[in-house]
Amino acid sequence: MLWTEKYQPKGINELKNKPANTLKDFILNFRKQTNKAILIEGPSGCGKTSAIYALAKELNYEIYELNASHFRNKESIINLLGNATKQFSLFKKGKIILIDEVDGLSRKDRGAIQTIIKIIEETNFPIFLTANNLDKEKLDPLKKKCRLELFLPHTPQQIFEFLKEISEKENIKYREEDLRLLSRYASGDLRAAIIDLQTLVTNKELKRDIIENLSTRDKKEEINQTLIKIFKNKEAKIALESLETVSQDLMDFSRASPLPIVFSNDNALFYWIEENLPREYKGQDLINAYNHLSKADIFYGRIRRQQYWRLLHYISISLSAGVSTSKQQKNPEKITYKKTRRSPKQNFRLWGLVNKRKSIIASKIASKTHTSKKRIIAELPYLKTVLKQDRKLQEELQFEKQDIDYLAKL
Amino acid sequence: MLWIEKYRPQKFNEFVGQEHIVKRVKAFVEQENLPHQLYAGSAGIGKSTLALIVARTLFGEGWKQNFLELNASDSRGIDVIRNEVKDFARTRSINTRIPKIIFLDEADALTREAQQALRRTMETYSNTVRFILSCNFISKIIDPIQSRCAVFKFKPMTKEQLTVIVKDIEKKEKLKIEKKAFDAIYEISAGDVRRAENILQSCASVNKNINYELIYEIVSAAQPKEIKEILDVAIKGDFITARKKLLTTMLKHSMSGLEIIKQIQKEIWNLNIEDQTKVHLIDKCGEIEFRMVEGSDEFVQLEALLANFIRK
Repeated sequence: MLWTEKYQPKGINELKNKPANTLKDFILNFRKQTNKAILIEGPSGCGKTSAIYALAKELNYEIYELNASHFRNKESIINLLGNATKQFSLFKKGKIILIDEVDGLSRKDRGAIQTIIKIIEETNFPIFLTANNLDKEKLDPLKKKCRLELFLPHTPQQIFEFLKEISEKENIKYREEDLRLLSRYASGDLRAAIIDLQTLVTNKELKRDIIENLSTRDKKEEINQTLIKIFKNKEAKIALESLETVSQDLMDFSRASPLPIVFSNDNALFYWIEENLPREYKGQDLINAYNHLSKADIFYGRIRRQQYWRLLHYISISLSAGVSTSKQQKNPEKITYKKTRRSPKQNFRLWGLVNKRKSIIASKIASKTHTSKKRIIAELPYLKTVLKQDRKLQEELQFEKQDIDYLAKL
Repeated sequence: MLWIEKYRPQKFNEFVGQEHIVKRVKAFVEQENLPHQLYAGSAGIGKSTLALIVARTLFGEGWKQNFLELNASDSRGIDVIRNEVKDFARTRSINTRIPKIIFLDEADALTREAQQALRRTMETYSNTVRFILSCNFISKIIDPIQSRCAVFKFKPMTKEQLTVIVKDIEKKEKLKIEKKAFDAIYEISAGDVRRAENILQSCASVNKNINYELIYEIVSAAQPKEIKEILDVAIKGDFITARKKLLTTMLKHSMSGLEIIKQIQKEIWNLNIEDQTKVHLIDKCGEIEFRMVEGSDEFVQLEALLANFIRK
C-alpha cells in the first residue's frame, strides 16, 4: 500500500499550520455564506486535498470528487455533479463537493469553467476547489465566485516530523540526519517526501548512500531519481509517476541503424534502464524485467512501422511499472547509474570494433559475383580459408596488403 | 576464380532445378517478349543466375550494355536507384526491338514507400526497360508491384539437385569427395548453392580429398567460438560480462541478431544442463526471434534471451 494513502490525516487536528478551522466553519455554517465555494491555492503536496478529506472524515460527510482523471467537459460535469449538488446524502450527515486541480482544465474540457460556475450558483452543499496556480486568466470568472484560501508549503521541520512518525510506525531503522536530508530535499512537498521515503527503504532500513544520489538537483540527477524510483521501489504508481519528472525521451526515436551500437539518442530512458538493469536485478527478477524491455521494443517497432503512436502509452508502462514490479526484493546496494555502454560516445573502444576492412573486402568480392555485400559478409566465414591461401584469387579480387592481413587474423 | 562465379550456369540448359520456371522464362526470351518479372525464394537457389541467363541469351555479346544490376540492400535509398535507372533508361537498347533489363536484387529490402516510388519508375520507363526483381519474402513486396510482374516462386534445392552440381565441380576440379561428405554439404548449406560452393572451395584449398571431417573443420572454423563462451558466462551468472562479450562479438564479426540466435540454438544442445531446460531455452529462442522481427533493437531482444540462461 502507498504510504501516502496509509498516512492520510484522519482529522483536522492532524492538519498542521492550515486554516483548518476556517474551512470547518465554512462547512458547518454553509447556509450563511455569501460565497458557496472555497478555492484553495497552494503548491503540490501542501495538503489541499488531504485537508478536505480529513474534514469530511471528522464531520462524517460524504465527498463527491471531480478530479483531473475524469473527462471534464460540460456534459460529464453535469452528469457527475449536477444531481449531487441538489440531493441530500442518504447515509452520511452531509455532503462536500470537491473539484480538484481546476488550473489543470485543458482546452479539451470545453465549457467546463462556465459549467462549474453554474453549479456553484445553484449548489445546496459546500464546494471546494483546488489549484496550484491561479494566475491563469481563464480562471478569473471562477475566482469571483469563490472565497480564496492560500495554503503554504510544509516547512522542512514539519516534513521531518511527519517522516519520523511514519518511520517509527513502520519500524524503520534510520538516522535523523538522513530524514532531515530527505525533508529538505522535498522542498515543501510532503507527498513527494513520503514517496521518496517509501522508495528508499529496503528491508526496513533507510540507506544513506541512496539518499545522497537523490540529493542534488541538476539535469543529470533527474535521471537518477527516476531510475531509483523504478529500480528501488515496487509500487507501480510511484514508478509511473517518476516518468513525469524526467526530461529524457522514453525511447530512441531517431534510431536508424540496425547495428547493436547506439549512434543516435544515447540519452533515452530505455537505454538508461537497459544499461543498469543487470546491476540492480538478479535471476528471475532480471528475466521478468527484460521481458518488459523486450515488449517496449516491440511496441516501438510497431509505432515505427505503422505510425501507431497510441502504443507509446504501453511503452511508458512497461518501462516504469513493468520493470519496477518485476522484482521480489529491492537491491539494498547503492548503484552508480551509468550511461549506455553501447554508445561509442561513452565507450570509445567500440569505434575500433566496427571494422571497415571487412566491409571493403566484401565490396570487392560482391562487385565480381553478382551478389550483395550483405550476403558476402555472411559468406565470408566459409570463404576465408581459401581467401587466406590462394594468391591468384587474392590478385584477381584486387586485395591489398591490409585486406590480406585482416583475413589472416580471422 | 571464385567457384560461385566459375560454375555459375551461363545457358538455360545448364541450369539445375526450377524446371517449370526455366521453361516459362525461356519461352519469354525466345519470343523476345519479356514482362516485368519477380523472382521469390531463399538465398542461393538461382534467382540472380536466371536473370543473368536471360540477359546473356537475349542480347548475346553486348549483354552488359543492356543489363543493369542493382542491389536494394547495398544502395543508399530509392533516390540512388531512381537516378541510376533514369541514366540507364535514357538510351534505347542496341537491339532496338528489345527493351533493356534492370535486375533489382533483394527488392524486399526496400521500404513500402520506396516500393511505391519504384512502382512509378517501372511505369515511367516501361517502353524502354523491363524489370526483373528478386526477393526472399514475397509478402514484403507490395501488391501493386506483384500485380505488374510475372511472379515466380523458386523452390529450395533438393539433395539430388545439389548433388548434381557438386558432382560436376568434383569432376572439373579433380576432387575426391567421400559419400558422407555429400550429405554433410547438403545439410550444412540447407540447399544454398552459394554456401555449398564456398565451403567446397575452402575445403579444396586444404585438401583435394574431401571427407566429412574436413567439411566440419571448415564449418566450425566459420562459426565464432565466442557464442559458447557467452552462454557459459551467462550460465555462471555473470550477466554483465556475457552481454559485453555479445556486443563485441556482434561487432567484430558483423553478425546480425538472426545469425547470433541461430548459433545460440545450436550451442544449447551442447550445454551441460537438463534436457527440459534445453527445450525451454530453445522455445525462448523462437519467441525472441519472432520479437526481433517485430521490434527495432535486436540487441535488447538478445539480452532478454540471454537473461534466461542464468543458472544460479
